[in-house]
Amino acid sequence: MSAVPGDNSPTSDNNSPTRRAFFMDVAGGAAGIAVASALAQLGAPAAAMAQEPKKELEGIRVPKEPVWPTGTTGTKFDHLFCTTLKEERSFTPAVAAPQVYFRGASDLPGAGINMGWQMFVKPIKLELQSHHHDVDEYIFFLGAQLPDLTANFDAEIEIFLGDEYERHVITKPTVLFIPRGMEHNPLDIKRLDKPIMLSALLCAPYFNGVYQSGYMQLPKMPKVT
Amino acid sequence: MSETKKYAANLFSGLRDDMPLDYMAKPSAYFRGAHQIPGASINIGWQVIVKPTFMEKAPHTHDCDEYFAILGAQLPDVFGSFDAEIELWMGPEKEYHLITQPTFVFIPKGLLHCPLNFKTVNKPLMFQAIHLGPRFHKIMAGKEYWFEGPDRSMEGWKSHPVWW
Repeated sequence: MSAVPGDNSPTSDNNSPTRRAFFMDVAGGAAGIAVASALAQLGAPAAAMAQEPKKELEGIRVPKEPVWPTGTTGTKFDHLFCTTLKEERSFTPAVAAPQVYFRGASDLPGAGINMGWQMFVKPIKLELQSHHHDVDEYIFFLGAQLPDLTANFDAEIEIFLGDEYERHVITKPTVLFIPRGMEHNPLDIKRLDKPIMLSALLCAPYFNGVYQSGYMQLPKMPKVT
Repeated sequence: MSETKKYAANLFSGLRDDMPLDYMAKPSAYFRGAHQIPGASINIGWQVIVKPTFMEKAPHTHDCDEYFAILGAQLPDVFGSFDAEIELWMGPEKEYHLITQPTFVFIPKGLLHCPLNFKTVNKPLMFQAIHLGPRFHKIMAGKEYWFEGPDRSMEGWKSHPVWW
């Protein structure tokens, strides 16, 4: 077994079918290297790495690991961590409690998004009128059975988009992108045979919107527009 | 005769992600930005971490805001189902933070952050990196890397260091 340039960890002839072995298998040729590299960027388990013996990585450049930070124990960045996400009550029996909400700049000054995680358990006409925002919004319709949010989706959701009320029916896990200014809704969760998770992410520090009935914002929040 | 819909491109359903990473439950879900919905400026994942993993080893920055949602993996009570310890170092001074409860982290554009270490995972947890750019990228040691998903070109990631 030859040493890998830059490799500073121990080697072994362990032949057990490990995750590293997987990478070895896919690492043949440029395409394999690219795939292995891409996967590694998304996480290389430290504990597993410490336990798994090193194998030869032919054709892959393995640089020295970065210097582990000594770090500080200050509080300078405490204001970037929010733990007040729990909302005990839901506004309707159609949503299971607790709800999870990150309320943007109200929770972390400077933050520019609002995001919720709601588990719907009953059909409901969720939004009754069209509105728009002055920022982009994304709505994620997913199954509610982790870990596979792309499965266990058994629902029918009707939503209208644009000034012309173009009708769309969502019957599978879906991302909906609502660019700033685009009218959207009403929204009707017409059929719900299994719970779904609905996450709405509004790219604004405080929730607001322009409804047919006028401008709306959550109480006690600064006006954004 | 099929109906043409003006806003059909605003909806996308190919979220399933089968990346074979042993610390994640499979499959996970991922939305990868503008190449999936033109104009979208967000990359977001739903990953269930099932065992300790050293996810990010080196400090880096982004040219956009990023957020981490770290929650339990049982809906609706992502609080009662949380039992994990996550280490995250923030800023150029590498300030140490230990996350032991459901947490939302704001990483402003340009702020150095990481390493990120899922140190203890007593119960599976849901991790979401919410990257407010049209495609995922990071800047590490002065070099930019980008990644659009396992089914796309690896051009932007091919020189990314691999630490085993």
